[in-house]
Amino acid sequence: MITAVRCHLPETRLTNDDLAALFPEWPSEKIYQKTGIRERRLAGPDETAGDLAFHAAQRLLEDRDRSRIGFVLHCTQSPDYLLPTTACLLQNRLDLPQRCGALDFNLGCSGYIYGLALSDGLLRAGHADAVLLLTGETYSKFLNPKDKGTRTIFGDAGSATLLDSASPNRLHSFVFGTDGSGGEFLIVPGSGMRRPDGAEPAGPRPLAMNGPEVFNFTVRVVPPLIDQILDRGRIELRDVDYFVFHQANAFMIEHLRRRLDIPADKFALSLEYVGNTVSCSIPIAIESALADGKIRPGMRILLAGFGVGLSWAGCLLEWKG
Amino acid sequence: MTETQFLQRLAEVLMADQPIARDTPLESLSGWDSMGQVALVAMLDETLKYQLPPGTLQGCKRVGDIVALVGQKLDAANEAADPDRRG
Repeated sequence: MITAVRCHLPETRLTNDDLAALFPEWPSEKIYQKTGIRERRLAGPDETAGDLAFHAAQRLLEDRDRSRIGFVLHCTQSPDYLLPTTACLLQNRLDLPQRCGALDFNLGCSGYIYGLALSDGLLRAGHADAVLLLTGETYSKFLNPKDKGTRTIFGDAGSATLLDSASPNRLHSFVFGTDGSGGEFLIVPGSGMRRPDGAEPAGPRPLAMNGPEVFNFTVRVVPPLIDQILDRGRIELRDVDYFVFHQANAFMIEHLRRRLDIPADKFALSLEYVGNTVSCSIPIAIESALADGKIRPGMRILLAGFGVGLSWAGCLLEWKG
Repeated sequence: MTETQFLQRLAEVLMADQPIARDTPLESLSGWDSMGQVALVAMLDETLKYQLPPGTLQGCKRVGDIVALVGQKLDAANEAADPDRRG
């Protein structure tokens, strides 16, 4: 189903030295040791998630036939507008056919996997011959400039994935999960119609992240998620050639890797120069693993996303090339 | 792992400069910030295979609150380490 993946990063870089100058109690090297991140990219004031997804899609579709695309899906939590739907605007900007369906869906770190599942469903049902799955995120616009905890972690990005019914790269063994009771652990209060405690004026507050609770959630749900994917695929952990987890931060996913006994050389770690890019982190890791030859034809890849919602999902990808 | 060993590990994770006991207030430890709590979650998962129920961290005021949460796991770990104590 997956034919190709391309990503796009905004130009502005926020380095650990920049952050250490703002927060002297966190030296540059300490930030790297705690997060595995050296720099993140930030969207400009007039640059949106829709723009980042657009540029990724332009890279992806450069030499490809756009007329085959029957659906465009856009995963974002920082849409260009509440309305109209960013995916509708992208249909026009990308010169996609008017017979193309388009919709946004609102998920974060698990969003790419949900997008793959939706695309897979549309293709299997015969609703489209090809689906363009986009992710775009500009969390940097939600952050409190004084919150070193979130500013060290999040970076902006866009991604574009083409899925085609004729592609041999099969997706299967999807597993999903949700626990809305943890919604408060990663939230932008006031970002929708519900006012925080009736506060005036209405409008978004900075992103609030309870890091320990989010981490506690991942150690609770990710190991069983991986077991369920393997069960559904009727395979063992050793039968997986490469693992791509959502790149939350290096401390967190390295802990999960050790806990699950996954060899380091089979485990994607691709956040050093981009940070946590939310729904873009898995496609960024896939694009770079394909370019580096870490994903090769004949390999079986396990993908897993988890975070804001709280929401999680995973699947297997058979990469034929 | 005995409770004493657990308290030693906890003191390391939360960067206590003196030995800690059940009645030590967590706020008095320099490491009881969000990074320290993340390290605590990792330590509990790694050493005791224990995951905290959601939302319990903010209710922890003293070291004893954490010990109470993992109490049963400590017993289980003791038994696993010392077969003579079983039964």
